[in-house]
Amino acid sequence: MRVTKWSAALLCGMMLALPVVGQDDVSPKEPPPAQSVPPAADTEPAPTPPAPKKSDFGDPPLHRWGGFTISVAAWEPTLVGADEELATTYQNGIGSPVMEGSTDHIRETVVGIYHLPKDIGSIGITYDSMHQSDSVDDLTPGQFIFGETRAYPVALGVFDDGFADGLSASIDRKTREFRLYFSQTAFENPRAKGTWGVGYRQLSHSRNLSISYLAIVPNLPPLIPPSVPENFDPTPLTPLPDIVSQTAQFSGHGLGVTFDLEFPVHPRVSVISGLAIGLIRGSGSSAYSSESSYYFQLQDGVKVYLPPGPDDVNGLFTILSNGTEQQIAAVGQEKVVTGVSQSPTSQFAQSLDVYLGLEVNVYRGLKVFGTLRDVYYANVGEYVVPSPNFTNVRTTLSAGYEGYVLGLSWRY
Amino acid sequence: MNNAWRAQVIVAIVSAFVVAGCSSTQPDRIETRNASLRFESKASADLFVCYELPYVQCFPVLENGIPKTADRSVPWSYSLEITVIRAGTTEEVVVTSVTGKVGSSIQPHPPELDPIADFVSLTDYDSDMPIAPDRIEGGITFSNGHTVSSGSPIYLATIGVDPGIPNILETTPTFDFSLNTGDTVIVRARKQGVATAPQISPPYTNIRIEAFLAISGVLVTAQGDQKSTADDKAGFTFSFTVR
Repeated sequence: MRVTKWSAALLCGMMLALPVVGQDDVSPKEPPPAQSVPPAADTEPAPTPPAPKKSDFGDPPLHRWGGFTISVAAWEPTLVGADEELATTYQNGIGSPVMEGSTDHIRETVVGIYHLPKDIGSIGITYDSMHQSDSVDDLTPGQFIFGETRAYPVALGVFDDGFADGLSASIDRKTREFRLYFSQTAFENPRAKGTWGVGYRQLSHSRNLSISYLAIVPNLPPLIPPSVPENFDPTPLTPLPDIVSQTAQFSGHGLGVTFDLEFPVHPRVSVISGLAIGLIRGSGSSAYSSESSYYFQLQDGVKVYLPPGPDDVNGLFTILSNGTEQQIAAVGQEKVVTGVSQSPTSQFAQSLDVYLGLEVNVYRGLKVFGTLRDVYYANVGEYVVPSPNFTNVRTTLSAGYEGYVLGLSWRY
Repeated sequence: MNNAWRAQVIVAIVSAFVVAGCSSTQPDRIETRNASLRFESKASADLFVCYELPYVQCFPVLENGIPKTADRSVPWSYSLEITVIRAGTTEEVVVTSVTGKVGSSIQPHPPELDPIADFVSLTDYDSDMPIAPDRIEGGITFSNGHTVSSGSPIYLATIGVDPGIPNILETTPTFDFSLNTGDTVIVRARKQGVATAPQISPPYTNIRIEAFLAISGVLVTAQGDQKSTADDKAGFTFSFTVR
């Protein structure tokens, strides 16, 4: 059975609504009207009924030393805005980029809050960790449809035409955020409660991308007898893959502010929402390398480039088809490597965190909450790629995460 | 809230959850197909009229005094390697036929097995042999004659040449093996060189070999060349992916 986001949302709603549906009405009942009794002489007045007890589901009072809140939550964030282009396929001259998103994984968020005595405020710590690691294999043996768009344009593809018949990629994306903040109640009334916060943030984001563009079935002329002996090793002539490697890292620290709202809709249920903004000053580094190859023939000690196309005259196909064993043995492959490495440079990143959901007081100090959360990190690193005209192309990186959060908090 | 209403709400929410969570996506099916490979060889071969009576004798067919030739099937040996790349992989593996024959004549074999010769595979002879009228030559009446090419076993027997039994990797008439959906078959073949082949007189010219691949009984057009050039020792490589 496939669990969708909407199914998860319904399940969250059920878990939050069922306790409400199942509970009895806790609003204090009006005392029954007093029955008409003729006053008796010399009798004492009837005792007033005791006031009903208040519902006991709110936060416990602070101790002399203060109090603690521990909160743990789980969510399955979807990575947004960080898709990687691996290649481009072409049909009737129209290109279609082959994009790779990410698979979703369950992640945890931990919050620890110390409540200062006498309601002065609270000191909190939050830690978020998101990690997506994905691998892709897209193989179409014999059909050279993948344009090697991430590779440096030199000797790309087995036929030097920039096309591959398969690709294999691995992508790793990580984000870590740590927050230390002070918060205080801004206002509180029966309809709403607002809490502001300010504090320190530490943020890191990294990406690792590796793509191998393959020539699985190039249909080169057969290297079998009688053109070569039976024990001839064709491995040196097996097309080498074109390999692209791209990495980017960012880390920094800065300040952030938060504002949280709580709207009680029931003695035990509240609608909660919040916004957090951060500015992080840090540094980012990047590295890129592209490795491709071409066929050559050794002629009088000189490596002579061989045009690799099936129709190229006096090229690779001609030699492999009609050449002697010695001529074929003189054919090899030469690698070409191009890259750029950028040392850390200063960068300003921004973070935006928004959530909306429900919170239910299950027991005194124990709460269950479910929210929809969106987190966005802007300018968290950059890709630097060399271009043929001796310039570098820079692409700023951003990453967003969206998902439903289900958690538990306990106030002591 | 009364209990009946609560029960209806809960049932409705649970039902919605179950319906939303169910998936009707079926897993991919893997189909196995039968593949069949055969080879032909054509060349410019001289034509002869060969008689059996009163003794075996062949006379060249002349056209304006010049021996007539025609593009006919001729027996010619070739080296062959058939490999497959299974769906989702990139490594080539030599195929095995449905009868257990290895799909290569160029792989080194362990000593305990009879090694298969590089050029064990042989294309078929020319089977075209229309009846020829009787002929009187030097006062002798030759009868029971057929018009054949130099690729015919009738002619080759008269010159004492026996190329062998037509086969493809010691199977006949086709090399049959199994392929799954998504598999890619790769065929590599090269003609035996003229210098090492049985010496035919008069020699064939313009010798070409051609491969025919059928999947589930249907001939397919593969990627790459399926026919060699006439150059000595020429060959080809082609591939086909089962969809």
